[in-house]
Amino acid sequence: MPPPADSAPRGATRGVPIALIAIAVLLLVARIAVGMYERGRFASASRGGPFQGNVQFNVQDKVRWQTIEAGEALALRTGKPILYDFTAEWCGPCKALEHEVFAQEGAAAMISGNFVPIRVTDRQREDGRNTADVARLQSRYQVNGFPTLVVARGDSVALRIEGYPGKQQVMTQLMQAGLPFR
Amino acid sequence: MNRELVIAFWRQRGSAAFRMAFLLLVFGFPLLMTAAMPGGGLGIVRDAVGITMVLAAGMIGQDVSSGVLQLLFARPVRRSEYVLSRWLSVAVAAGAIAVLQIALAWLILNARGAPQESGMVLLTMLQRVVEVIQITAVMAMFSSLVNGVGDLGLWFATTVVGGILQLAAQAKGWGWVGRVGAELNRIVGPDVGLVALMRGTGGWSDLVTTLSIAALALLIAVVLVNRKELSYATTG
Repeated sequence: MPPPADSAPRGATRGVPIALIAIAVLLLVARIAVGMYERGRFASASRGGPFQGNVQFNVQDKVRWQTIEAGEALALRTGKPILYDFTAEWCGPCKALEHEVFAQEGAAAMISGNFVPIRVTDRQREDGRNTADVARLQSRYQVNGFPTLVVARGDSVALRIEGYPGKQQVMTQLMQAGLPFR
Repeated sequence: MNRELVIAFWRQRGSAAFRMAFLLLVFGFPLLMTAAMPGGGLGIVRDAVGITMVLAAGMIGQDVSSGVLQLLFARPVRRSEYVLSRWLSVAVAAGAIAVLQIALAWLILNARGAPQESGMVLLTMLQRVVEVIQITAVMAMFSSLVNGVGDLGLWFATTVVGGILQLAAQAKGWGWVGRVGAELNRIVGPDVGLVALMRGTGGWSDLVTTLSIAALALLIAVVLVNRKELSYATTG
């Protein structure tokens, strides 16, 4: 039941709560500040500056990446598992993964030999949206951050690595996931 | 917050058969899909927009068009209290239902031999609750602008305009138009990024942006309802 009619003066019913104004202003300022800070961090990363372990960028990737359509068709033909590399241009740890794993001859040969490698690059931050194929795969494999590596055999997920835990761990898990009769 | 307003709203929504039927549909269908395709994991139930929309549509606008608001504001109820109570009613109900949906999906996936990491499931639940907070606040803002369930129209219009602006920006290379489009889509489609944040692969900006949009939308909703001049005359 609403309070009785004489419990408050009528003019007092239209106030805006000070706490709500304070929270809204505070969060708006925080949004701008955090946005500027993170943009600066990502810009520093894409220039090859110190970020996530002094990784230098623009390395030569030696994995034979397939497009989504061609890769999925190839996987159907060959029966090989698909290795999806969910990545983004601005992502520092993705560059570390690229530099330490995908740019190494041995690792690249193992990946190209045992998997159908498909790189799925997020463009949300740059273009404001992703292509339908990228969005479909991100949704299907619940990609919530980058890098995310997913090894898929048909409908089932054989391996999922979120973030970059280091070359050793990535290679060990990929080798296990790439075994034919696992 | 006004407990009576919250409970009255829940009762009103619970007695609306059409809404409940829709709610059952948006709640149950993704669970059936999860059971049919366990390979998709929790991805099939990652969106709480449907659940929130069913409960939120017309949360304020319907009170205006039905004349309830005129009667309510004849009493000394603070308008901000009314708006915040409406928001809380929808957010709590939609958040609870969304969390229940994820929990059931988790059980289904376990039963179907596709177990999910429990930490990830909890994070997904928390992320869903934050998403619901934003969607509900934005719907409160839209609902304070138009009568009836016109807020649904505003929601879809914002989504479409945002998409068109982004497509135009891509085609013509207009960076600022793309940013406006992205911001519009961000308002109607929260991107919390909580899982990425907790896993150390994302930043704070998505979460802060979500909460900021929610707070601003609520503030605007309160201001709009405060400025509403309600006619007590009948038109029939």
